[in-house]
Amino acid sequence: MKTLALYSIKGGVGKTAAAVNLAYLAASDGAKTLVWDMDPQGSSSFYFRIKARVRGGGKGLIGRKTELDQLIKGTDFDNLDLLPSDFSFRNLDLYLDNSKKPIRQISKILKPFVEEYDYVFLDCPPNISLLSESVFGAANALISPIIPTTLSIRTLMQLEKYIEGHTGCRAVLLPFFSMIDVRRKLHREVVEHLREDFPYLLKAQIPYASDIEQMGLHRAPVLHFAAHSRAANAFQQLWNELKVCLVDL
Amino acid sequence: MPLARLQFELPKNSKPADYVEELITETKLVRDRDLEFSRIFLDTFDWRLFDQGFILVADSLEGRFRTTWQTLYAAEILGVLTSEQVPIFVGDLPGGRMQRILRPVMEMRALLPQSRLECVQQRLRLSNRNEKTVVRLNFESYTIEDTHGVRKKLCPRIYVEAVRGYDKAFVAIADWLQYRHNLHPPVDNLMVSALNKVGRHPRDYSSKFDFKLELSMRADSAVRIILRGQFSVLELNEHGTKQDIDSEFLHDFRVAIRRTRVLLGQSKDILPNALIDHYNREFAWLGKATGSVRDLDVYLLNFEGYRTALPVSIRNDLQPLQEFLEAKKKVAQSELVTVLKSRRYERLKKEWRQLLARTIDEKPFEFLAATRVQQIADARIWRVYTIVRQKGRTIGPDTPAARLHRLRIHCKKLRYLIEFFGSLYPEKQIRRTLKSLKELQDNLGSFQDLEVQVKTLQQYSSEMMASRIEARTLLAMGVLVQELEKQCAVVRTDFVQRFDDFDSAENRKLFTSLFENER
Repeated sequence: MKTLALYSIKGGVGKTAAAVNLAYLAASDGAKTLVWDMDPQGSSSFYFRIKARVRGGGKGLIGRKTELDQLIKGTDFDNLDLLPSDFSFRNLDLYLDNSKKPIRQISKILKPFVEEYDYVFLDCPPNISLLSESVFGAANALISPIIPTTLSIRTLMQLEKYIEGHTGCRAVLLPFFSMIDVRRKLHREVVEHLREDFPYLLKAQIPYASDIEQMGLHRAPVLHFAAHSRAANAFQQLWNELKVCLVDL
Repeated sequence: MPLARLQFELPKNSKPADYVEELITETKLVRDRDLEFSRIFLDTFDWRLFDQGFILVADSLEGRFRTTWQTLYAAEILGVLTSEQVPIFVGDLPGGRMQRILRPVMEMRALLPQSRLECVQQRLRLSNRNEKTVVRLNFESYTIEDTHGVRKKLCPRIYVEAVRGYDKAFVAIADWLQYRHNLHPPVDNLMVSALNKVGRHPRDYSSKFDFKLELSMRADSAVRIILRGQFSVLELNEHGTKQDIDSEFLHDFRVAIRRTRVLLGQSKDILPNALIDHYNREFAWLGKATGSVRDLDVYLLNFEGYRTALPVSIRNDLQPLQEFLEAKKKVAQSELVTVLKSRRYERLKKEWRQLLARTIDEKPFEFLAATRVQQIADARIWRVYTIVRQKGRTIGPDTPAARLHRLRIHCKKLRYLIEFFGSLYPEKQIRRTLKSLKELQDNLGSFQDLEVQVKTLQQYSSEMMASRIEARTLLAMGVLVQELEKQCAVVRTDFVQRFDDFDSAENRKLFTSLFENER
């Protein structure tokens, strides 16, 4: 099982869109896939038409009073399941803080699913907290969307620095450009500049596209309702590139 | 966690449409577009998936194939693959869990369409307030074509598919079908029903040896039964060998030839000696014609092992060797196909078939022909067993490899003889005789393979040099040869222990009690 965290310190950068579409692609390849919607906003759950509610809430989950197996829901797509969000997930940090060895908690919760799932996608909330540390301890890769603004450079550097100084993190950082508008000069310049400074940035980049925004209307991955669109193609390229990176993880 | 699925069989003359209408009227089920497609049941030629309680079902939908990996009896869905082509080898299946579980089951074998039927599927689903599907129902009607092209109908079935986490809807629909309409699960899996409908059954081929001989049987009669069985295996594997569907067809084809030759060799004075000499020559010719392709198959099957035996930095340098082997195999395969289309081969098959079909003479000329088979089995097995022990005991650390090779051949003879006549003896004890023999054979087989591979790789490197191969490939091959030599030395050292186990007092006692009687 490979655990892939869609993570960014910043919000609104396309984490959920990436989590939903990449998980859909993994499942389409025939891999048994689970998305864990960790964000209390519950956007992944919404996109999959699944109610954002978990029996026992975040507290039951972290304390493992609720069997995770009982909380998983099947989506409308082959091989793809979801662990929905819950509004109480806003307090996950608190629950983790009250638990023993908080950094190992996410890893422990997922342990029973090692044989069942080939991929677990963690759709993380935008912050840097105890939950992030626990995610870093569980994930094989941190897939981080970067929007091409000057602030993004700062954010990426912050994340790099944080990971370097974090002994419990075994994950590889795999950033990619997200929400790119090639008509904007600033976007083009930032992309060019960042690619020089961060050569490990993935080549595939996700455009700013109305098809992605329409996920909310269709309540489905772009690849499902607009399979031949530019956005779908970009997610496919990103997934192809990621698969190569994941081979040795 | 497999996807729960219940199946119900509808009464013979009922129409799925009646149930569909009633369900739509009484519940909030929504009807999707009907589908018509071909359903192909995939398994290896020797039914490896079926043997493990699995089945792969490929539905051909709008130019693509939706292949579901199911449990045989409960029809639960363990995984799904959508692809442009039907998967053939295990590498075509999704990496991860499906491949991890099915790789050791399928190994090198290809998936073949074991049965095919035409399916009309009426699809219903129940959605919740979010328009999320919470349960699916498929009403399926089937037709199958028999070998004469006649279309036959199978009983329609209903599949109720659970969506994980939405059990209530699943249970409600299942109850409705079970209690209100008194529907029951079918006795057989759909594939089994489809096969039965056209007069077939699963496991209609196995490379394993399972003949039941009778103690009172005459030797010539028993020999003919075994030879007929081997000829059937040979014929069944001929098409796959010609088409090179997977390497096991040729393997089984060759084993049938070897078993035939061993039995012919042990049938002196049971079958006419002139006949034995003639067919031994002919089957030796056939066996030799298959040798090159098999050798190359073995190298190609081992190739991943060769790669991983090398340091990571030079693994890719070995790639030209794979291409060289594949090109060589193509030539050898074409030569083999020529042999299998030759008049000599056709004549051999025709005459051999006629000979095996002949009824046995009441008063045979050969003086052992009418002897009780067990008497012959005892004598032959005991003799070869004694040879194996004698030859094995003379092998020391400096014995030339050729003598280990000869011992390997005697072991093979002993193994085949025990398998041929095993049904005449207590099953449990026969299994025990084979256990240590198999381990000894594995050791001798590995030694022989490694020895030959070292020599052949050296020969190949000379051939490849002539085609201006890069130096780094030759270097990688050199490292590989060293590695194989190391492995060969380890296997050779292990021989002592393997032979001691075979030659143990306990094993001697077992062989004596089973076979020494009539000596």
